[in-house]
Amino acid sequence: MRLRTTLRLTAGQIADVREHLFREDHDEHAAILLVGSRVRPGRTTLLARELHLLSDDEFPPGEHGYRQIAPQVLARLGNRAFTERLGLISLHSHPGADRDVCLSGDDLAGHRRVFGHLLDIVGGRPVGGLALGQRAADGEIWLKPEVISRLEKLEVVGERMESFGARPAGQLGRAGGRYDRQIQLFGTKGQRLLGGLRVAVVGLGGGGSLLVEQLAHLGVGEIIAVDFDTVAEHNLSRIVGATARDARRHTKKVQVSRRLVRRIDPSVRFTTVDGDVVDADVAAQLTDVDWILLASDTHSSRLVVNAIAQAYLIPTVQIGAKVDGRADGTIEQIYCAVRPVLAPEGCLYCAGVIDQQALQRETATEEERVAQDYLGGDSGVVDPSVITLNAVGAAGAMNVLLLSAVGLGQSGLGAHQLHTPADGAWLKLQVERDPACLWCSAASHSRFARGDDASLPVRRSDARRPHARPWRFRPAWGRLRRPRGGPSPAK
Amino acid sequence: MNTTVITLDVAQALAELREAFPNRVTSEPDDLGGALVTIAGVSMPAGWPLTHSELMFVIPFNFPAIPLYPYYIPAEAAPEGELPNALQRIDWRGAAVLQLSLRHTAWRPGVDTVLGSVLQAIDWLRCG
Repeated sequence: MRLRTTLRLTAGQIADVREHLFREDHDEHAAILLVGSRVRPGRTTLLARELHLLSDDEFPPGEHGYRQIAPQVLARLGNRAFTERLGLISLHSHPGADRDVCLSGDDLAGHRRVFGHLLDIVGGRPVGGLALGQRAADGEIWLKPEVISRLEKLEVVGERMESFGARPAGQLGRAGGRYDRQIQLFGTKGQRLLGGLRVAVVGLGGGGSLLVEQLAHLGVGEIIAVDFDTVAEHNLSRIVGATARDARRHTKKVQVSRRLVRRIDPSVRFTTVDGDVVDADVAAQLTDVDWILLASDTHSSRLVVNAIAQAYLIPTVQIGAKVDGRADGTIEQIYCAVRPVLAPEGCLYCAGVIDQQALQRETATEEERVAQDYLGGDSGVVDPSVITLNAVGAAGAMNVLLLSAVGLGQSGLGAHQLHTPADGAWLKLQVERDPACLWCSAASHSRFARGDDASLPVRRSDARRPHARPWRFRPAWGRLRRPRGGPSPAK
Repeated sequence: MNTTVITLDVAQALAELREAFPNRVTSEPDDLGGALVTIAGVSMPAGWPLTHSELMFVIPFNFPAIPLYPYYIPAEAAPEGELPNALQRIDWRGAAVLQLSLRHTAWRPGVDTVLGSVLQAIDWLRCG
């Protein structure tokens, strides 16, 4: 079986790597990444969590090659990798290399001497070595002593996505008359990049259906559409492609999206996921996509998708629209939000858009929600929803995806944006990251870039409501009973 | 308890409680990945019919993203009549209980601990 291995770094990490490795002295320099991983049969994704830049003393002239990483450095960082349950990847520069680079015979011989031992030190997690040019990477990744793969590509997650391997990719792809006008903006290379993307859309209501429509027109490679709901009559004002017949027949929203995409471009692969992203098996299907567009309005789905975005370094954009009302029923403000999560930046938890109290309400049973509503709550409130507001968020998210993916993004593209249509204003919001954030921080307890070792805040897949059996006391709880002859419980 | 039916985070929270309250913690899976937990021998406020009773709560499947909330006490532990504002008499999972609405308003996931939350509830009950 051919093994495909990808290394994913953040924009900040690759900037630091380039500055350290490619200096005016034109000498070789080195760094070490400690990485989380997502390992599936035939496909491994390595996720850079920690970057350790090595001094020249830590990368001295070697016996077997021009330079080699000092054994004590490998031992120290190998032990740290073991403690942190991470893999270890060494990086070194090939000065002068730009878009082509190749591991040397000395590099490969060094791997043979060291990596078997290193696998033991890190506890069997992936180890590897990469040679880097400015825009090229060649690498060998050891999953086991007998399972060795060549790096397929290095991906950079940020406002301007990058993806490169040992040499420039070919120019073949989904081009031609259909895309002529947009190719004039981002070229055939950009169209090829779009044609290779797997994009998940979570939530297929007003916002999500617009996202699916635009993705199909743009010519992305595959759309993974996630929703558990069916079409109702009140959806017809904003779900693109939904008909009165769908409302009468309670057609699944994923089926409406499938039909929409087939009509636009049957060559776009379309995968339906009829489920809730809060469920473990559904969430697992998002861990190897290239982008996630989140158009679901629950805090639980924001929590799960943000966790995936940070743990697996998957670029994500959350969209939403909100109408704030006054007590007298008048409108105070209308908001449309576009919130990119380009790990570790833009964390939805740090941005304050995942509310613990709302999460708690969504997690509680109906009985518990009623009992906890003794002070009055907003559980029965239906927020206004209008397709023009959905469209603002959808267009904003698509522009972030498009411009970042084809390499046209500039500084600021990753900012959270808030539009207030009533006065036409756009606000850019700076997300202040919590240094102890469970999802995006570098703190030892955080799940950032931990991949499969990150425990996601998901529900057991076999316990989906409403099919789950009702919770009742079991024998251990049986001592509780209504007091005989006592007063009726007051609500 | 079969830990394969609860999340790793919930299992770790339970281990923390069992260490702090040896032989006083019972639990069972809530079928979603969380756990229903009872801590026995918890001091009740002075003047209540029972000097000690049980403190019950759910560690939800998405713990530690959210704190424990609320807590429950067997209804027979409390006196009849008016109760402090934080306590409400309700039916919960087929039983009459007191709901202790003690919310951790500045919960920091991964920093604050399940034990800290439970001790806060126990302290509230001790002080009445």
